[in-house]
Amino acid sequence: MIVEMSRLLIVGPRRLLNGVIDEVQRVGAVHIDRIETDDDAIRALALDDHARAEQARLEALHARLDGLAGLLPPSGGEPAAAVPALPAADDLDAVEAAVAAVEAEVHGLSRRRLELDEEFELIRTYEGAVRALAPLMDALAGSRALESVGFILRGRDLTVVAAVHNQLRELTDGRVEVVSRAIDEGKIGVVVAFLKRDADAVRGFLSRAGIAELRLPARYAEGGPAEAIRLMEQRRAALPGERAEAEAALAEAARRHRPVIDGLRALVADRLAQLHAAAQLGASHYVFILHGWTPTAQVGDLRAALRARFGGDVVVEEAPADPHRAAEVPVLLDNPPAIKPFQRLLGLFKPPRYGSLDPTLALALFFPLFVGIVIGDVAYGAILFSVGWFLRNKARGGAAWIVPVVRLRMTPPVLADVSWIIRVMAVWTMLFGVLYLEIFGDLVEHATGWHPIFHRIELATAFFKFAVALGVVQVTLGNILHLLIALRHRHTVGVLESLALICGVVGLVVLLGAMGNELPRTFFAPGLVLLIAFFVFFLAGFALDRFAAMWLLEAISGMGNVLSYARLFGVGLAAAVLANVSNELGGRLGPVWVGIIAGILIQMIFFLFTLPGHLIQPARLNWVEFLTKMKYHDETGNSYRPLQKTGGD
Amino acid sequence: MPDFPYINARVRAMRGRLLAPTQLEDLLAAASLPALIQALAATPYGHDLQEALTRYEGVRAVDDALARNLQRTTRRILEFADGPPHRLITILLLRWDLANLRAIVRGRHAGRSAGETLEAVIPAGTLGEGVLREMAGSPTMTALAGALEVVNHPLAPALAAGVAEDARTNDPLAIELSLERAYAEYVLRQARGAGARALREILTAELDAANVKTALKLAPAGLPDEQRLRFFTPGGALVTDRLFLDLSDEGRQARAWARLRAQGFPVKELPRDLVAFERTLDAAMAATLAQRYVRGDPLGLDIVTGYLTMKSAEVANLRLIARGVLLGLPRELVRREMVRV
Amino acid sequence: MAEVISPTRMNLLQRRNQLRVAQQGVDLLKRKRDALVADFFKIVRQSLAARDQLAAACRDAYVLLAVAKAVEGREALEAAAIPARRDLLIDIEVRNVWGTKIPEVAVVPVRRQALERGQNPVATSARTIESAANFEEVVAAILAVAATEIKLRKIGEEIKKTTRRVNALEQVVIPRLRGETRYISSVLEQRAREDVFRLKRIKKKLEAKAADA
Repeated sequence: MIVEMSRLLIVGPRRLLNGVIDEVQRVGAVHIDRIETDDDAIRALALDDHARAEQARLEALHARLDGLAGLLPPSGGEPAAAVPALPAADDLDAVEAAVAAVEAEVHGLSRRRLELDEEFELIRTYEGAVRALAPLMDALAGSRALESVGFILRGRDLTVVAAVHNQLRELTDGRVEVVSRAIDEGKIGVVVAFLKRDADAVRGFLSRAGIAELRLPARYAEGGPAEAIRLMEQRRAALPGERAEAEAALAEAARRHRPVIDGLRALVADRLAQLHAAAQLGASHYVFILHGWTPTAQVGDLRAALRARFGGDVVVEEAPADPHRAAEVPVLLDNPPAIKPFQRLLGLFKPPRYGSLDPTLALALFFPLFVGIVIGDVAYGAILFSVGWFLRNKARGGAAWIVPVVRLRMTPPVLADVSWIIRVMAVWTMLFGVLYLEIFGDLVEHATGWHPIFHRIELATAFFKFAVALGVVQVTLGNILHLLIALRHRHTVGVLESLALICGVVGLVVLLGAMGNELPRTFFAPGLVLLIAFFVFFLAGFALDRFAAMWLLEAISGMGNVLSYARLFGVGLAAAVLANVSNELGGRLGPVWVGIIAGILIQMIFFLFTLPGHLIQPARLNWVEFLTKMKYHDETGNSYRPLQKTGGD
Repeated sequence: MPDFPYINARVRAMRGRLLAPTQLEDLLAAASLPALIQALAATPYGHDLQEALTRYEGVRAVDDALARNLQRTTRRILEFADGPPHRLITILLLRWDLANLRAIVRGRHAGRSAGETLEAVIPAGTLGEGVLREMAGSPTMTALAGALEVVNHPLAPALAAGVAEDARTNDPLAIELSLERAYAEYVLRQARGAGARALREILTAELDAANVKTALKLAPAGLPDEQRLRFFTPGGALVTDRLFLDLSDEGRQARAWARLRAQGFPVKELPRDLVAFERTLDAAMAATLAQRYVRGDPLGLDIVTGYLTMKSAEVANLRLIARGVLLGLPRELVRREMVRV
Repeated sequence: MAEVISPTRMNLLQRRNQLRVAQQGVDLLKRKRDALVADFFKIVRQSLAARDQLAAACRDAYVLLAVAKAVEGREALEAAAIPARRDLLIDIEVRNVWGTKIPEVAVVPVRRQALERGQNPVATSARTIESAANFEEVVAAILAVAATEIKLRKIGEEIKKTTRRVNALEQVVIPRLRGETRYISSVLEQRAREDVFRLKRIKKKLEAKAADA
């Protein structure tokens, strides 16, 4: 059902602007729209400098709060700490101070974690060098009066080392010690130890020879290479622990600060929404004009709330929305609780246009039904149902849930809706499972020899006809809905089109079915009559509008759409056959119980892989074939998005 | 090449996280740097940006976030590769090492502090930020060479040799030229064999472009042959040392250019405006590299190369946008300098 | 006229002489001023052109620098700038216009090749090189502006000085001299009249005495 909307004008003196927007947001029922007028006296309300400055500060705050929310690890559902008192939204200084306080702590902790990561990475990079040098350093251990440098020579030839050693000995009058060892292919690690007073000479020689002294990170290297290596190994052992500590501190901070951050974010987001809304209003010199849309049922509440706060200073003017100029009216769908969750299936598209029909009811009926027809297995149904139940409990828990593997975040309302859709699908699946007598495929049939009421593999032809019949029903239903819309709008060509297409599609299917001996011969005559009726409507339409020529094509494509429902048959048959094949595979593995378990396991793998297809095919039939027929996609509306307190999202 | 199908599938999945041109345009439209930072926080760079903001502010934070993101991207690709692909990708990453080493060497020469030097460094290569910080902070050139040696980097011997030559002849250009040549030699040596064809093509094309650029810049100086040849990096496919000499000689330039064009060099006309020429050539090179993503061998290095090109072009563009916004450059100017791939 | 001047004929002649010299001086100074003003306007035109050139050079240079900074990063630019440092020697020649010493700054070529700046052509982009070249243009433009503006300032000061002198002569010295001349001549006239009168009286007295006697 599309909720009835009223066009709303709220007019008041400009000094009350902030108060009115605040109240409108509190009630949360007005979808604010730009005002369009030719009157020169009414201009778009420009925010003054003060408001613009406030907006800039709020936007900066919002970004900082988002940043904080991103830096803190997601809280794992533990009880939130008590929410401390939050500053008022108009006291930006206080809000900024509160944010800065949290920021200081969280930034400090994040920085610490980053630095630990970096240190770890640094030590890891130096690992090779440390491994090469450590044994050589050990050889020179204990000589504190000496200075030592390590370097790597390329080449296998140890004579190079000897040459270097000779030259160094000459340079220092023999007061030098050189140890070396081959590290890996083509590299020799060398450590030279010498007296401190010879340091300059030795270093000068090395750099002239193009030998680069190995340097360990400066932060460890103070006490010489041996000490540095010891330090690095010590740090390497300590770092994982420190990192875990930093993580824990962050998690702790998250637990403490998240309520504040969320609260402040809601505060800032709501105030920003108010400013954005204000920028959409119109104004004359003395008054502001708010133009918007409200569900007719809520106008009274809004009027009462405004009257209570502002008395007679603010005027609310209401007019019913005109369904014939529906493009600008925002659309809110509402349905009974059992059907409402299925509105999510329409969530992919824009909502239907105001004044047309809400197809949710049909989707709520057909989508789970089709899934049931395709899967049709009591056991699978039960599994689906338990998944639905699990999600329902998650939703009741009141916390968002992140779907594993795909990392999709689902809020409780989404979870509740999804769980309901899954449970309805599960019930249909079980019903058809009983009809097909499939519990994990044909296990029961194997075990007991009972015969199902409808064996979809044996009765493949009948199953096919059933699927196509569903197609006729749903495609025709789509056409009928379009007919209703056309009637409501007194759109003659549309009425003729729907009638022509109903007759054309049904006529074609029946006629072809009868001619191909798939239907009893008696269907031939009615089919012919329907086709003649199609031509009559078509000619009438063609007289009014040349575009009616397209109807000929559309009737044939409608026929194609009907046949498209055969995919239910195809996918369903494949599901049943796959289950049976798995059972057979399992059966060959050995004893009965092994076979059963193996069969079920194989089935579960198949099921997991085919499940997306089992959901997408029925969904596609509803989205493409059905919705196209009711010309849903030709004219859509805009969603109803009232100005309301959002809680920061 | 056993692993490339898997790597390429993963890389293709990462492509979806690149920013669309409209997003870049929106970022460019930011009125101020804080507004840009806000807008950037809503992109895949958001998390890195938040982390960067804990340590730096302003354009430095943006730079840090971009570099960190680029580094994480390359690390991720390396993580799901091993064997020959891992080796090839590592070689591909050396180009950033070369650029970073150059920046650090220059910083050292100029006597900059480690922090200032690090600003010019993009830690996207094989050298991590920690090592780069360590090197930027080394007290002498020799120490810098040693720091590179310690991490067992393929360019370490070249750096050491360059430093030794600099010490002998007091010519800071020696280090850079030595690094340049060593990089080309190393990559060409590693890129032998059928599996590395893409890498070889990329490098030879890049060497050609670099040599042509150098030659054109040298031409007005009128140096004798042997002095010009010092700036030639061997290894390109089109530009031989003789062609290089001809190109860098104003008298023989036009004829040499005709030869270059005949061999299929991407820029056809002998350029008058060197700045525009470099821009065109860089854009053409980047576009050719990025094309590998679409047209290249789906079972080879092409996808990774193309992706990395697009990613680094995006990072370069974002750096440009950040500075453009900070300095208040006209948007048209920034747009002209952006690399489109 | 605080000081008391003795109204003597000597003084009168002196003042008259001074007045003539002052008037001649004013005349001369005015002619000098006219010549300086003509020169001034000629140089103003040059100076404005030089200023325009400097503004244009600066605009180009700073835009390219900003772009280079954005594309290549600050470090690459600064590194390219380090070896390029040098001292620029400028010849300044002093010219004499109407007795005024005006410095002439000789514009020396400042543009260099990339290699002369010590930049590595392999790793330095054309944008950086061009940016450096642009700033050398700016230096050249600054020199040109300096050359004209120093002249301009000197001449301007000279014109001001001359005008001040003219004014001093015209407003102060000449009126004072005129006043003094007037005063002296009036005193002298008075004195002459008194003498005449006195003489007449004496003559009358003498005649009366003669008549009595």
